[in-house]
Amino acid sequence: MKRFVLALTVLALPVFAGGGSDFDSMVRSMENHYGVKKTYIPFLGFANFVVKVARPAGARDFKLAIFEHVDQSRHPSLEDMDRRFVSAGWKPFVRVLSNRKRERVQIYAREKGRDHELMVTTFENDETVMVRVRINAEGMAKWVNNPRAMCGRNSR
Amino acid sequence: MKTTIAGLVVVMGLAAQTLKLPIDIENLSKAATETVDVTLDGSMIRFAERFLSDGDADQAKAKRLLRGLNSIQVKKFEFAREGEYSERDLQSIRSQLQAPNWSRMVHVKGLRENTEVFSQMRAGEMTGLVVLSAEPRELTIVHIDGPIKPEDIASLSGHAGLPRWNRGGDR
Repeated sequence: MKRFVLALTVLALPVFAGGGSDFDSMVRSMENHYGVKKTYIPFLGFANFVVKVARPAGARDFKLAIFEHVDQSRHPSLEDMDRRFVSAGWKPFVRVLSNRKRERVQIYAREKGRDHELMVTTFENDETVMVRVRINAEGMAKWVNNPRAMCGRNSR
Repeated sequence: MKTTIAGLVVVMGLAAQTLKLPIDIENLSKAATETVDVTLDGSMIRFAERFLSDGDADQAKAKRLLRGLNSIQVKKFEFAREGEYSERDLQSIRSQLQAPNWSRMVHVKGLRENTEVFSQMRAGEMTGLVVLSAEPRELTIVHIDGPIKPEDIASLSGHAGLPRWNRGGDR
């Protein structure tokens, strides 16, 4: 049992490492905004651990929060999102509004030491997804050189 | 040559001169089936430039051109039907691209497509470029802030968020 708890702790560590990050505070802020808690995702810590080891597409780690069954009328506006993120040092990077799919994707970027961070927020019907990915220089270069294609590749 | 690119919008520009996308144009996103905005500031452009190869002639040229740019912005609207935007919408952009700082240097008017290239001059140097491409169901605005020549745009095709297009053909 002790070993099991230890293993779980190790797997969960990457998620909470550097805790108190602005991602967590933005998630809390979003929870307050919608009045809904983020959805629990099993094995998210393990997934992050895999990303840290495998580094797919230059990703070093990620954080993910999904809010389900939210009131669509309460989705923050484009401008609200810009205000919120720009004040935290993020730069607007890519924005896709699809009336056909009833979806909005806003991607922000910022430098973080030698790496870069991307914050991808997706609003779709009654669901909101926030993903923060830390990627290395090469991964970021792929995004910068072809943001539209990368956006399509990474959207659901 | 049918160069389809398109438009941009200058956001930064000269200190006392800012080109903003008119509200009327921003409102087109309500009618558009899809709106895409890509914004790259200087630091992101520097980043893109670092990863272009000096060994490849095309990439080396793109790298050299990107080196001096301050920002790139691309805005593209796609519509389900024709007639969702009007000549008046385009005029509101053109009105910001006038003398003494701006001049229209290229205007290609086709049956179904209208492409205009505006350049910004400062002390005899070209310091910015706006491409406005209007098709019946698509409107693109591209703004490149920094030293660039119209003939160099093709070299940046597909780099730093700019649309990919073919010389002498459609994208």
